[in-house]
Amino acid sequence: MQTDEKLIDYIADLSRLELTAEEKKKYSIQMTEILNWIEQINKADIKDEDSFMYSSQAINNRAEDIAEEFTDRKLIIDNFKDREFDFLKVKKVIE
Amino acid sequence: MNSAKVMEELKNRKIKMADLVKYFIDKIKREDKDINSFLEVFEKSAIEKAIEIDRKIENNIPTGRLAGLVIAIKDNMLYKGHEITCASKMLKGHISAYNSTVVEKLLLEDAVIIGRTNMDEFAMGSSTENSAYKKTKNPINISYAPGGSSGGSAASVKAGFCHVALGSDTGGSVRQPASFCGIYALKPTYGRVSRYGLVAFASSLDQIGPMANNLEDLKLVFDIIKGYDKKDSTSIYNPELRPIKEINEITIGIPELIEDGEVEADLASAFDELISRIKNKVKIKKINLPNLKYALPAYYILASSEASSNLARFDGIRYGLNVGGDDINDLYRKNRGAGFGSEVKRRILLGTHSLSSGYYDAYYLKAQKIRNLIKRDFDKAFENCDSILMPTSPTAAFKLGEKIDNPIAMYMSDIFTIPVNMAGICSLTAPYGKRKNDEMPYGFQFIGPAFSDEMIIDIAGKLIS
Repeated sequence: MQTDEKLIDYIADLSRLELTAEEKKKYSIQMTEILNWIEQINKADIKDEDSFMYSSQAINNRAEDIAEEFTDRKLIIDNFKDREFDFLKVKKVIE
Repeated sequence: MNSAKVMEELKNRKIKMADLVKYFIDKIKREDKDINSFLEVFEKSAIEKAIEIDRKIENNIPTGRLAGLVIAIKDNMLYKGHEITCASKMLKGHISAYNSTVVEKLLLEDAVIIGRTNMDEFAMGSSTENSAYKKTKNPINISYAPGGSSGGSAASVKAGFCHVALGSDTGGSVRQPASFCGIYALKPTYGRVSRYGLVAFASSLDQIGPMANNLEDLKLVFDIIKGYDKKDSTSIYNPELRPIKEINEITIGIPELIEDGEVEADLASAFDELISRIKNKVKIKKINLPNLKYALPAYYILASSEASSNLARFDGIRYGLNVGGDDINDLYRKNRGAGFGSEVKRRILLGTHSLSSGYYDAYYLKAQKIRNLIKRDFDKAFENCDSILMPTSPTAAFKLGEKIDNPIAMYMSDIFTIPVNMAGICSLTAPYGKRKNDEMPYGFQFIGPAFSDEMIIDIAGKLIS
């Protein structure tokens, strides 16, 4: 499969990644190489396969819905780069 | 001084833990400038912990089972109050708000955590050259890469900066660097060690494992970090473990996968030599893993797909870097563009493409089905043997810079480790043999079925160390 810069632009947009012109050029070459290399999976015989693998001893492991007190709130808030009081400031989402 | 001796002398009050920790810190300060294995040494908290242990001993208070042990952690495991970066600019300055379960367990048993080690950014890579901060060198010969992604952990153990280091293994990231640095490492069965507080790369493949200079230290730490954790929904409760057998009851499977040119010549001879060395002790059986060749490309689809989802949280708002932006989407794009390095971006692009509309069936779904084939190949093989022996990587360490511009060549160094993660089983790598021209070590892995972790450690001990 050939990936051109237009496709890279589209995937980068889906990934919310800003790429430089140089990166776009590099990734379109490398992605073509990687996707061509990946094509070999088409030789595997998978027509009878289920789509998901399960570990033999894994069981559904649901956490009980019990509230626990988290005492280190300050440590989380201190990681905010842009804050007002104890609130995390974000850009306007809706115009 | 090995750790068993340290623990004994500490109990007999012949040495003090604080002196020992200071010795390690001085050694790191003196020697790590040539190796670059650590991103940060936790000098203050390590000495405080050591003093706490000394105080317990002075007052005849029982100490934990790891008192005397100095441990380094890969920079993707949360240690409360300490910086964690995953060797990425994206997380620079981020301070952990809680402990990962592995760190919690180590501290409870009185281990001293000496620092956080360098790695490939977000654990993506096989040489530790993808770190945004520094290039770690192989302590055996500093012109060589230490392997990756837990290259800082492997190098710190080999250089004698700690007794044991923890790494994480998504496709070989504890075993391949251990092999390159000539040490031991275990990739536990998926679900045996809690991933709570490990920054996720590919959640269905990630597993934390110990790396050490000898099997005793490795086992000691594995026994502490393993076990069910309600905070990790993939953690397995009380699994039925494979029993340990007498040496003459063990059958070792040797896969017919070493085609001409697939491994370097000296490694092929070391493998033959190892087989002939063990064949008088155990039964040897040829086995066939016909779908192994598909593991590597299928892995890059699955791991990248999971990574593209897991790394979506690094948006420039909640963590680390913030370079601003005109609106919310512009802010995401700019921060992610500036915060992630080259390999991380490449994998996010590949993963996003594999999961995107119109390509999901061709890539992700197919790769999931291949995962089944690989698991079944191993299941069949383990009907005829207890453990499979094969090289950990197709070569010994390569030189720094040798493969950094060729992603596929770099991916190939994990060709033998990745199938183990795909099947969710366990594998232990042990050093054996050397490449002739430069004396760089080889590693061989004992692969076992799910929940045979203790068994393969035992087998490796009986056959290699």
